[in-house]
Amino acid sequence: MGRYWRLIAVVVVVVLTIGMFYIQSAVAANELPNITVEKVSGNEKELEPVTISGSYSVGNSSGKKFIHGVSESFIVDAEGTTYSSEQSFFERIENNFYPQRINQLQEEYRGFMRGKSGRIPSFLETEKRIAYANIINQTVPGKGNIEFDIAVLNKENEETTSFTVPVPNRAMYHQVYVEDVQITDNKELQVITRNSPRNGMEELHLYRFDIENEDIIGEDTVVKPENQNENMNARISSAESNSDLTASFDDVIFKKTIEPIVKRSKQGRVTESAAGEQEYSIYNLETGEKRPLELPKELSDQEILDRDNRSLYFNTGQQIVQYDLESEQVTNQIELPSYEEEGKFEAMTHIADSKVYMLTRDQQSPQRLIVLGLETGDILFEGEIKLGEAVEKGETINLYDLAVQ
Amino acid sequence: MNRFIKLVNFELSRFMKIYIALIVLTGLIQLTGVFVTANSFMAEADRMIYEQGMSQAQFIEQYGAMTFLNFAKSLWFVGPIAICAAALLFYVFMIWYRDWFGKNTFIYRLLMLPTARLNVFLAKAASIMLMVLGLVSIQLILLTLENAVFKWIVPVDLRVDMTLGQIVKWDYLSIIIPQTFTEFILYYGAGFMFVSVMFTALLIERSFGWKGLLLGAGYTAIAALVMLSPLLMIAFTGQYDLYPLETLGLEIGLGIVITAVSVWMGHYLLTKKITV
Repeated sequence: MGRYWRLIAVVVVVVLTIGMFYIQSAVAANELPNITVEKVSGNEKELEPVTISGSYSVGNSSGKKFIHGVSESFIVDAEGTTYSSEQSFFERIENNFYPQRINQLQEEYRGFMRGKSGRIPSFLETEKRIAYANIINQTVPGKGNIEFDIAVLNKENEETTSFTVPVPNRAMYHQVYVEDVQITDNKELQVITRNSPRNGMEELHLYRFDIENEDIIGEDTVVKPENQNENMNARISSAESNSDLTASFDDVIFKKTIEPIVKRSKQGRVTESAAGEQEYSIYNLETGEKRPLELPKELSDQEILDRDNRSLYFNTGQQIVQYDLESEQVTNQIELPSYEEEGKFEAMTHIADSKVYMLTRDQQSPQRLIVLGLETGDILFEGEIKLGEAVEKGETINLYDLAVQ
Repeated sequence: MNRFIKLVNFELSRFMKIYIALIVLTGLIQLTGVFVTANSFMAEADRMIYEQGMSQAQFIEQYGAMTFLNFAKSLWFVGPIAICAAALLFYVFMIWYRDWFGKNTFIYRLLMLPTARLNVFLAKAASIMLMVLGLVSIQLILLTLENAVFKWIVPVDLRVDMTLGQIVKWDYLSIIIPQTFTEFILYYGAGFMFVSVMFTALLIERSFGWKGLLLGAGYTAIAALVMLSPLLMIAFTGQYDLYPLETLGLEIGLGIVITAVSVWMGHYLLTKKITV
């Protein structure tokens, strides 16, 4: 035995130290503080569909000379707080690779989702179908042989139609990205893309596909930044539902912002968006008809907060305004609660099931979660985000996402 | 089995002096580092508070409190780890070459031992792995000690405490000491694969001379390409059909195959092709 003392010594040190370390860290994982939403008023039932994501950090505060820290992400939902370190290695690989919405689709339609991109706007889910559109072969930008990769799953008979079609005039484009996928009642797939031409500014295009005949049947440039010039910069976007990027709509809403260029830098143009001018247009997918959308002056310079099939929602800072797309009128305004310590009410906001979910962003004042009834404007729930076991020195939490299921 | 244990013990003994020296060096440099970084922080704090008349709260507001990572990010801590890693990486090759180029061709005696030659291969690989894990263990012990010293020098108002578990989560430390035991097995399994591929490449060189050098490099390149094949697939075709967990499974499978092929080739070369 004595002859082997070196071997025995090394093995004993390794097994004891590393063994103790992993046993201890398994125990210590449960010692992270619980993060809770402490009720101030209302019904705690309203919290059930809410998931808050954030990060917890110790001694992490940027810009200071002596601080370095570590942080750990967590989610808070109806079941409590889950830290990323509490997940097993396999769970972390499975859950953190794709966005949550994609994970959800992958779980349900494993075969269909195989090999497809993880970008949420590429998907559309309706009661009957899942549609997917992506641009492939553009790993080397500007190679010129980019194609649409289209797939549609019929949920009822579980049949998949898939095909690829070259992007029309593809040599013209530097890059093409799918912004939205929609499907009309007569089985026409419509794909809205953001195209960057080799010369000129970004445009939004709409391509129509016949699913049964597996071919492209039409193209339309829906927004073009034509009033772009030396001193003006145009940004274009389509208004999407904030809560579900895979939702289906009868019409698409486009927004063009024209901003004066204040300063040019090497990186690009610096613009002052406050002075910008917004133009909205609405495009009916069934008829292909496009018309400008005249929003009231006080709404036109606001960001669109969310939309559903009938309305647009805006947050003016004091109010949530609901604008009906059919009657082109403001149909509802609800007041936001105000707090002394805050000026403008800055929050992450979600609209789901006729309720407004808001999570305040301000790090300094207490972080609040508020649920409002969209019709009545009543506060259904109000709570403060609390770090369990009295905040220790140097601990901070930073909330970065709010999801409502 | 008894032969194998004897051989491992023998290989460890041959490197023990340098190994102990590495441990002592690491301990000395790192402990000095804790003293130096913590004291320089305290000196700055003293200067600001007593000379500039700053209050403690103001100082923390402006400079931030000190954490253990202020030390762990410095060369005092990283330097010795790099030295140890380099030394062991070098020894992956020297553990064989010293037998050929030593005072007397020791490999001759090793290969004449009345035991399977595969045992020589495995014992050398096991010693390398044990020495790596030994250094990792020593680092864990040192970290605990250094964290205690840090707390002893910097008063509680000027520091933010971190547990050992929080410290090792930081950056490259989480590669040496992974968060979960599963990852620990996977990382050091990959380490064993690396060692066995290197050993086989080296034995190819020993068996075929200058031509073998190229063959050995080729074998290493093929092993790397096989491990990276999922990545290459994405890069060249843009299409990839496996889910993340399936990719992990594939990589584990490929790793096991590469390790098995390497060990088998090592065994074959040692018994049939090796020249002394």
